[in-house]
Amino acid sequence: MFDLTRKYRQRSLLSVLVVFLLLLTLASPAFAMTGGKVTVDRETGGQLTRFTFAATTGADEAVSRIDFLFPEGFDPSKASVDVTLLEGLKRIDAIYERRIDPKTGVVTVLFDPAVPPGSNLFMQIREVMTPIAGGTYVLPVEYRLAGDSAGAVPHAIDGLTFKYKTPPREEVISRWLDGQGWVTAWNNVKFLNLFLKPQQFVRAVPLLFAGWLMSLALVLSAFPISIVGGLGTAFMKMSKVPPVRWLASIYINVIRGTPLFLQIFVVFIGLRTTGLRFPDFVSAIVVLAFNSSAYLAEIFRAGIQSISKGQFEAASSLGMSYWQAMRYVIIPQTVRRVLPTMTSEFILLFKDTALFAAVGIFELMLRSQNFVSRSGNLTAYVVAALYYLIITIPLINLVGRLEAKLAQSEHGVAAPTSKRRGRRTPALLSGPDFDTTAAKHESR
Amino acid sequence: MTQPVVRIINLHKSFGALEVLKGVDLEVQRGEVVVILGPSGSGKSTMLRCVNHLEEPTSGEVWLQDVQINAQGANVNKVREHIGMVFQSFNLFPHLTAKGNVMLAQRKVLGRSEAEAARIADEQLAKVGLSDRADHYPSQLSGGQQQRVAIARALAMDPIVMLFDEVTSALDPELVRDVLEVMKELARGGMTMLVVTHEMGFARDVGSRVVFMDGGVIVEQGSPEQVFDNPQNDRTKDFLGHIS
Repeated sequence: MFDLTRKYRQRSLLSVLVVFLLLLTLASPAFAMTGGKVTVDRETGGQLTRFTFAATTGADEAVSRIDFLFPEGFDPSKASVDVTLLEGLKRIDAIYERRIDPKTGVVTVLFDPAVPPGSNLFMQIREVMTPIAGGTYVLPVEYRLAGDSAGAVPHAIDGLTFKYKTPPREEVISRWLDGQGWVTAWNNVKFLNLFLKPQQFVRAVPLLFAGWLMSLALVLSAFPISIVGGLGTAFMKMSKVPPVRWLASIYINVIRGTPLFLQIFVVFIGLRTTGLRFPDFVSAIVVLAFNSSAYLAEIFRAGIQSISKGQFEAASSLGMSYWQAMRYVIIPQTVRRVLPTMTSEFILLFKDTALFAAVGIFELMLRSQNFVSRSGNLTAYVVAALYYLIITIPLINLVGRLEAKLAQSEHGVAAPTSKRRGRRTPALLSGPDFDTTAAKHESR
Repeated sequence: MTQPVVRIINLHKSFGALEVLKGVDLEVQRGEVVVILGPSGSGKSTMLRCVNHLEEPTSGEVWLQDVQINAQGANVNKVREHIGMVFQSFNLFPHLTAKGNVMLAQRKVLGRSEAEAARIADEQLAKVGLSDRADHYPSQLSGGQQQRVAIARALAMDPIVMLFDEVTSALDPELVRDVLEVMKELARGGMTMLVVTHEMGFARDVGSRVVFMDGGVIVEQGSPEQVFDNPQNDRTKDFLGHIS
């Protein structure tokens, strides 16, 4: 019984203590600034940034001085300060003075008269240079009240944080360019500013890179399929069985006789409405491979038929079967002969990936288009052009060298190469026994 | 009498409306060198190409030993293994070296090992005097050298009979001799040969029999002495008169 009473007393004492502490905690805002908050107007570091500080002064606090202790690396030496004071919803004039200590990075604002208790305080500290490294920073804020003695320990608002990211490299370069005299002079020329603005250039390069990879991935996935498909179609076209031959002819003529653009729409929009839905990337590869196979089929067929009949006869007379002769004698020679034309076809196909912009595949063209419409500056198109050229120029060169080499190996001399070459006209396949009309490509 | 190596019976061949062979009969015995002469268009090349079925006879029979090559369902490729052929235009495979040319069919058709094919290729190239050109590509060889490689390529298959289709016609005169030397050597070795040529000297010296064709038929045949020195047929006389 006694024990029980003692326990009860102890418990009630504990309760009283808890309630008291709770009350103390709840009451304390009345004696200090509340709702303290710091925000920045930039998402990345390394640039002049506006800091906004908002708080409510305590019910019996007349704040006469606030210190912002910027961390190391922040430079507020050129900062300016704006203060807005609201009592309830009523704006009251604040008379204040700003002091900056460039060495310690402390921005001090002195209020005279002091901020009335219970005011809503908004302060903007403009043009503070932030360090480039992103992260979450703590901004210690201290304040003094009108009645505080000079030596008193200031009140502190702890735990005010703000954050921003490290800017990507291109943004850093772009900002650096912003400050360069020659860039300004350059951009004053209207044409250069529109097509070759250095800042846009620097930003477009990394952004379009992904598009470039997408375009490459499309063509690199589709082309090997086209080679197999083209070879198969070529043999079908040369088949002794008429229906097989007809089938190949229809396929080749329909594909070569219609724009690739139309073929893309048929697959992307046509198939979708019938409920067949493949991933866009797969659909794109299918269209490209289907299209290119038809062109390659004609290139291969013309190439195979350009090999002299004597080669086949020689192989046959040695006892080789049709497919052995093809595999070991005809095809290896055909490959050498059609390599330049095949490379040209690859170049065309690579460029044609741009058409997929129309159906929303984020390849090089669509990315540059988006960039341009966002920035209102055409520099991204120039960057896209360069991305295409990185691939096409070396290949165009390669075609030239392959043609020269082939001409040399077949005729013993370097044949003159035609510079004025129609689109998709395999210049090389114009030997005496080569049916150029069959292999001639029309523009798509 | 032993079985002939090649037997052609009443061979007819038409290209569309044009009848090129109008009934040819010919038997070639083992070790014989049969030289076929005649004006161009007489059908001699077509007849030769019927022997290994590069041309399909319109009618008649073509036999290699006991196999009829133009029979329904005959394994033409299998028969061709045993018939070597050398063409006027060489027809070397330009993407392979001389040695590669000689090795290819040995490997793929006869199924010989790499090493064996290489050994035989070296042997055959040595026989035609081109050991030092084994690694050259056809484009790096003269016409005469190319033609000798072509002969080596055919010989590497161990043929029962060799067909030569105007093999020196595309050669510069100074290169003809080397090729003919190789062929003479081959004849001396006992190879059965059918040779279409315009080389009268070769026909006279090497031929064991001379066949004169004109207008799609065999007009006259016999030993070189008979045909050259004492031709019976007017057309043979006319032809020989024109060229000598």
